[in-house]
Amino acid sequence: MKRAANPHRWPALLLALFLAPAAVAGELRSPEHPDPAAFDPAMRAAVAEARGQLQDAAGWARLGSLYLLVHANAAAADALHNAATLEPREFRWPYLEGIALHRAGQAAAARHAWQSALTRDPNYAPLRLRLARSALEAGHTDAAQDFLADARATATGQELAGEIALARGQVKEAVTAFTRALELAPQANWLHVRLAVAYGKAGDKQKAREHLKARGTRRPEISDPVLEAVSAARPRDVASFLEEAHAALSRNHRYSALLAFQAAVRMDPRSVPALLGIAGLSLGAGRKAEALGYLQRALEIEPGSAEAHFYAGLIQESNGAAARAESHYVRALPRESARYRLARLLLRLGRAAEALPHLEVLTAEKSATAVRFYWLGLAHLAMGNCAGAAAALDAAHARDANSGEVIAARVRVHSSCAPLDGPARARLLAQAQRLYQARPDAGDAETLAMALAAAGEFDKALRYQQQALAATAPEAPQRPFLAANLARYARGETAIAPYEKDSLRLRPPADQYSSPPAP
Amino acid sequence: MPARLRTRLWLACLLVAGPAMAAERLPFPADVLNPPWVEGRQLEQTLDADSLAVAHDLQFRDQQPQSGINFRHQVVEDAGRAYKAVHYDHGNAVVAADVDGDGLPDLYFATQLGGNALYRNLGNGRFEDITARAGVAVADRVSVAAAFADTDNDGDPDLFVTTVNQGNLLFRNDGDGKFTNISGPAGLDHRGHASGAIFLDYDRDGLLDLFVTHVGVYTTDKIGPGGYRIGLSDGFSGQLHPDRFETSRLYHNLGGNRFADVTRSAGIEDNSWSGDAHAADLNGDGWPDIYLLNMQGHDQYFENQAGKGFKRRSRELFPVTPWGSMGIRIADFDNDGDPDIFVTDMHTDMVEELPPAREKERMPHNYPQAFLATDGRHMLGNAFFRNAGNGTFRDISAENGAETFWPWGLSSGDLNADGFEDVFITGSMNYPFRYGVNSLLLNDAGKRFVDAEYLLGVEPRRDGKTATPWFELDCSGPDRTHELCKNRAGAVEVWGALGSRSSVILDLDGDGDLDIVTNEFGSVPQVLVSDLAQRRPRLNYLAVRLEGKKSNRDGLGARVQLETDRGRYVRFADGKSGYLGFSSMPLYFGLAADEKAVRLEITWPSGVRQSLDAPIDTRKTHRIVEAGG
Repeated sequence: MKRAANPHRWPALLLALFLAPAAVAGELRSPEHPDPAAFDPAMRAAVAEARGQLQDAAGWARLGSLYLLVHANAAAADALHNAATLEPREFRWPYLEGIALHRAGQAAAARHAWQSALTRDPNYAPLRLRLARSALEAGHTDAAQDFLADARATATGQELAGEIALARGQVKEAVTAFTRALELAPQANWLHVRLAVAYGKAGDKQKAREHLKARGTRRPEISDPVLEAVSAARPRDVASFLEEAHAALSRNHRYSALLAFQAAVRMDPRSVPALLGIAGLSLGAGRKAEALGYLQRALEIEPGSAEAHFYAGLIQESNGAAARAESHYVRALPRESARYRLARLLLRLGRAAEALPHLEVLTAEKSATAVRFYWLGLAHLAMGNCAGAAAALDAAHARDANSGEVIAARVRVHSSCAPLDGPARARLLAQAQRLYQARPDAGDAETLAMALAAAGEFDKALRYQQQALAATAPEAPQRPFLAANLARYARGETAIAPYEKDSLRLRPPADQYSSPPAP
Repeated sequence: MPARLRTRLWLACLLVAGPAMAAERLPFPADVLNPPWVEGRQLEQTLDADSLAVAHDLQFRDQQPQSGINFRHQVVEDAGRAYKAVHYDHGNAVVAADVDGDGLPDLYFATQLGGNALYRNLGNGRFEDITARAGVAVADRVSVAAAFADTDNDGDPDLFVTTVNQGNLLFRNDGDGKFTNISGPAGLDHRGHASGAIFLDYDRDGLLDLFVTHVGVYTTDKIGPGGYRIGLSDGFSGQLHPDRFETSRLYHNLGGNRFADVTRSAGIEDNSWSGDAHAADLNGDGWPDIYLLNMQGHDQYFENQAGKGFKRRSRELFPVTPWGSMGIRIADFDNDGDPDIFVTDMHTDMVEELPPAREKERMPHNYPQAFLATDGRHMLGNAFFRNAGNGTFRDISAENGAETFWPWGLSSGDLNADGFEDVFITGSMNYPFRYGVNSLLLNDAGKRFVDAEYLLGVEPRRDGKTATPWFELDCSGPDRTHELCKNRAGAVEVWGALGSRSSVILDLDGDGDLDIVTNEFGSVPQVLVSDLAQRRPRLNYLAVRLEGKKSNRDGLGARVQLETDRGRYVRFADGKSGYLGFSSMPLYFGLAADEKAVRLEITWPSGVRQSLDAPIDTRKTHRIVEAGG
């Protein structure tokens, strides 16, 4: 249907037509080049090279594209303007110039650049869509409709057609267009909102509600090869590959991260961070030998790399090579995690006196976690220092009142070598009971028996100790300890010690915090 | 006209008015300028509005540009280009009182930088800035909260302002809207990380005492731009550091504007990480108790021991509270005659960012126990403690729609004049977070709250704005190491989300309905003017301004009961007006369809009971002077 022109628009339009050619005329501009110090080295080099080759349109376009990538929009617009002037048939340069201008907040100038691009290539759909949206935002639905033309074959085009229809009050047409857009891009669940709005305006509340329920925030996307080519031409260096790898890791995209680390190594075979990255990923995938190979390469380049030593220590420890692991951990010692692993390794090796100073360092910080105090408590226990163990386990409990292992160790210590009185002892017994309710195994039955004996409830203590004994294998090393305590409870005596000598028999507290035991 | 020519002409026309090249606009996060969820949310709320039982025949319109209020809240750098999770992002108060005795409520806005502002009400919704002549700018300090109350019983509101470790301030009103700083002689110039302040007469001696909440140490000794103390980088874990604790403080009014710190002797020492508190007679014994919020731990309840001190009964009455309590309002929300408690929980909502479509849900999980540093008994969201009438309270927030996302504090008032207190909750976290809405909860006959911010024109904001320029960077110059300058050059204007902090509900234009004024964070206030009075020419309401004689002059602590043929309404004179705010305003009763009030009964804090019987004029403000004084 032919639409009537609005007669009131003519005076302004004629004036604009008169002014327009002066603004359109193109002369080469001198961009205000941004300070390259803000760029990464690869970009700095690429910009310097591009600035030396500004004799033709391709040179200006290359520089403009680089400036677009670093968001130096004013300079990008000037450079791309020059490219467009020198190559009057090429639509890409005014198109990109328009994008730079739009990003710089110059909506009208952007539209003008895009219009120039449109005269050079009327068929590039992303260009038409940008113009259509721009016209719609300015309230010119007729112009928006004209720009849309064949570009409506895409989901974004249909969405825009729907918006134009909505702006004109044509709700049926809007529903049709949004529905079609959703068919073309079912993943674009934001379109449900637009459909709900259209149905709401049409008075169909039921449909509106249905689409509101299905709504999301994902908008339809459109492929823009010109802009994608600009992004793909970003100059790369090792740092950018590392950045890409870490970004991929933060999204848990391990394969992408591996590819980026490998690309960095290809570019610089002596990149220690990249080698470590590959080693870490290999280790995570269980390929220990391969990981160790990359770590050795890293250590050849940087013998003091704490990170490389730490990873190597982890691998050697898991291989059962305790001495090598210890050696690596020691060389990684500025690293806190290495100190933690070293302390645990020494404890496991029965060298509590050597572990103790490391654990004291680890628990000296205000933010020290429960698990560190827990291991400190065990180190004290292994050295026969019950008071030290009690203090450390109390600190662990204060930081995490829900760790079963901390509760168990603390109950055992305070029920044997560091007894408590009165309400504190009653609370301890209540904790042991809750722990047993949550985890009714042999170890926690034994813990409960200790707490009961400490509270003077020897009959119950005997019952739980017998239960623990019955659930313990005949060859288990702790059986004599269990039997000895059973005899003590029968005599009305408390447990002889928290654990049997030289065998801590403990599980580490969960690194993840567990749910509180049932009250 | 051919299509091709038409579009060319349009483009050329636009070119004429093209703006100059500006700094790159960088919205952060990317969709903060045009959040894709807003329209769906709006539609969801408005689609079935016709079937709502609660009255919603009103609209708010932000008339800040016309109001003459051109105050702009300014944030310290810790909330801007050097953002860190520290308590500066809690913002500042807006409070109201008639400072010059002309019968109109004036407004005081606090800020972090640039100076606070006092606006005199000229009538008809117009204001003028009288800060300079009033002498209350406090431009040399970083303010937090503000409280208006008549501390010397001379008939005009005095002003107390808290600051961030720069000394609190008491300004005596000299009677004509001019103020004199008497902080030192008054004994109220304590330096600490003070936050909300409330006045109450805890010993009922006729003089208003002061309770000031303290957050705890969250700043360093380093001074940042504008003179503020730069925040600790781990300020949000202050509850794990006992060396940073500060007790909230109770000051006893000795008369003659002199105060004595009685925190310890009154038994109210407490190290909660507290931003605000509320006084109310929760056990009905006639003595004001204190509910103290803890934004990083359990809330505390201190029961008044007949004016001799306080007894902590927190876990007995409130075994489970929000962990991140930020704002509080105590009022008779269900019109059963006793006070209920509405607590907003901001810090639990920092566990993770819920998508907008799930904002009415409770946070699905809590922080690790080691971070909570409590016994772990917390609700994950706002609390609504309904007074059971037998001295106990039950949280019904899961049933009555009290949950909102990223809430700061709340104000209450009968916005639709149906007899029930409605609630306005300020929200949003500003830069570097996404936009969050302010919530308007209409009270549906005391049974539930109905979300109505989009329905009543509070959202979307004026001109649909969701973001504002937050700071600028020179990515080719001194800011090139800023994280947002990575691979950027030139000037960058970073845009961050808008967000409110404090609010006050009052009849600012004297037309009989209640309006809302906010104090924003890093932006200009919203002056949300209601059109209820214009839509309902026979708007039924009644307001009461108390004047104590034996009791404190403001009548704080009084219980006012209004009876009509169809209902009974109770309001408590407590002064709490919004997050960080304490105001001096008349009590407002919406009367729904009741055109007549048959009895008004006041129980003064002195114990005096006083009543007025019909005929009692409605649609006016009654000044009630305490009898027997």
